[in-house]
Amino acid sequence: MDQFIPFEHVRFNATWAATKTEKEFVDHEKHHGLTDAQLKEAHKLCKEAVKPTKADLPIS
Amino acid sequence: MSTTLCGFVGGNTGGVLCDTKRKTPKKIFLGSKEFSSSEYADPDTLAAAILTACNLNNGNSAKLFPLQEIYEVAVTTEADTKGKLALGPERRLRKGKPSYTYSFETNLYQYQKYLAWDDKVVPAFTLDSANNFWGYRAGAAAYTVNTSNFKGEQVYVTVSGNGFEDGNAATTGICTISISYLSVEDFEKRGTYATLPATTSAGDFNGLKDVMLYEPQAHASNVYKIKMVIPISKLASDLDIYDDHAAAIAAMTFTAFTGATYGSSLTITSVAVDATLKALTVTFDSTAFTALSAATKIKLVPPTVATLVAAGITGLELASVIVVK
Repeated sequence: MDQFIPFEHVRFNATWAATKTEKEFVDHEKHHGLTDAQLKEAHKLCKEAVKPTKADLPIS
Repeated sequence: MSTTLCGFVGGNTGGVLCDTKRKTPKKIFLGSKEFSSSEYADPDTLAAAILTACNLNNGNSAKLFPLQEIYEVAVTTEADTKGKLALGPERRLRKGKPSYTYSFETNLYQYQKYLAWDDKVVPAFTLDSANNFWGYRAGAAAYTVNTSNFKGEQVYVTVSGNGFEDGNAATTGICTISISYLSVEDFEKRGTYATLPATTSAGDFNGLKDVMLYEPQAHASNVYKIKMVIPISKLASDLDIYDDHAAAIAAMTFTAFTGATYGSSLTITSVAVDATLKALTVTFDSTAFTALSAATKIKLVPPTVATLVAAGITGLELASVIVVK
């Protein structure tokens, strides 16, 4: 199940966004009326949201 | 050794103090929901289970569809069929099947929704004026102590009325729904009930309104605009739920599928509100979208009723919509 996060009036698919570069994400989602700076911030939040925590990492 | 079998006919006839009987019906619930013993273990649990069943999506076999509150009851049970030989005695050849005709004050939109049940056979539960919820013990283990599954009896439903009033009799212009039980045995021998909490009101359980999703304007790319309205019977008056619920709904999970049986997932990258169009903006992954053939059908699946209810949006069901690339 993809993970979504809210940002302004948009709910972004963080799971998908985390697989994209910042430029790809900004180009893909530019139609929402957000500034480039806001989109970059959203992308950063998406990546942080799906970044595995220590608890998620396999024990080696 | 007795010379008769009379001691083995029938059985004990003692009654139980404070047991009840069927009272005046207040509300009918149609649908194939079957309550397990854990769901009717106590009144509060059963009330919660009924509400949960009412708040499932269409197509779920565990869903219940409550009708409005009943305003008048007519007992239309068949008379027993009787006959006798020339010298008697009169015998009953067949028991009349139970049947009840209920009257409702129903507006046109709801009447047209009721028509979906006209001339159909479905299971039905009945909530009566004493807060007892009536059905029957279903399944082969019908007489297992306290573990019987609890289901609505099979009934034949007809929906009529709702024409013009005559300005004279209150019984004109009303909606009448007849509930005719298919099995006397299920109604009598296997009939059973569970009690709801004393504070329960028939008004606690209400049917859902269908919300239709559609594209208000053609899409130019992988970005789709989706409006959400309740189509009603009055012309040019469909109810747009944007102002009340769009922000909350946009914050819920939508999914999309393609393929012959809609088995292939299509990634939704974002869902947003469009205040100008009063619609949702749904964006599909452009790479996956581009790879689709022209005119590919995409099934957009909105949040479930249960998800809406959990967010405080009650009484609505969002229907899936098929959009085309």
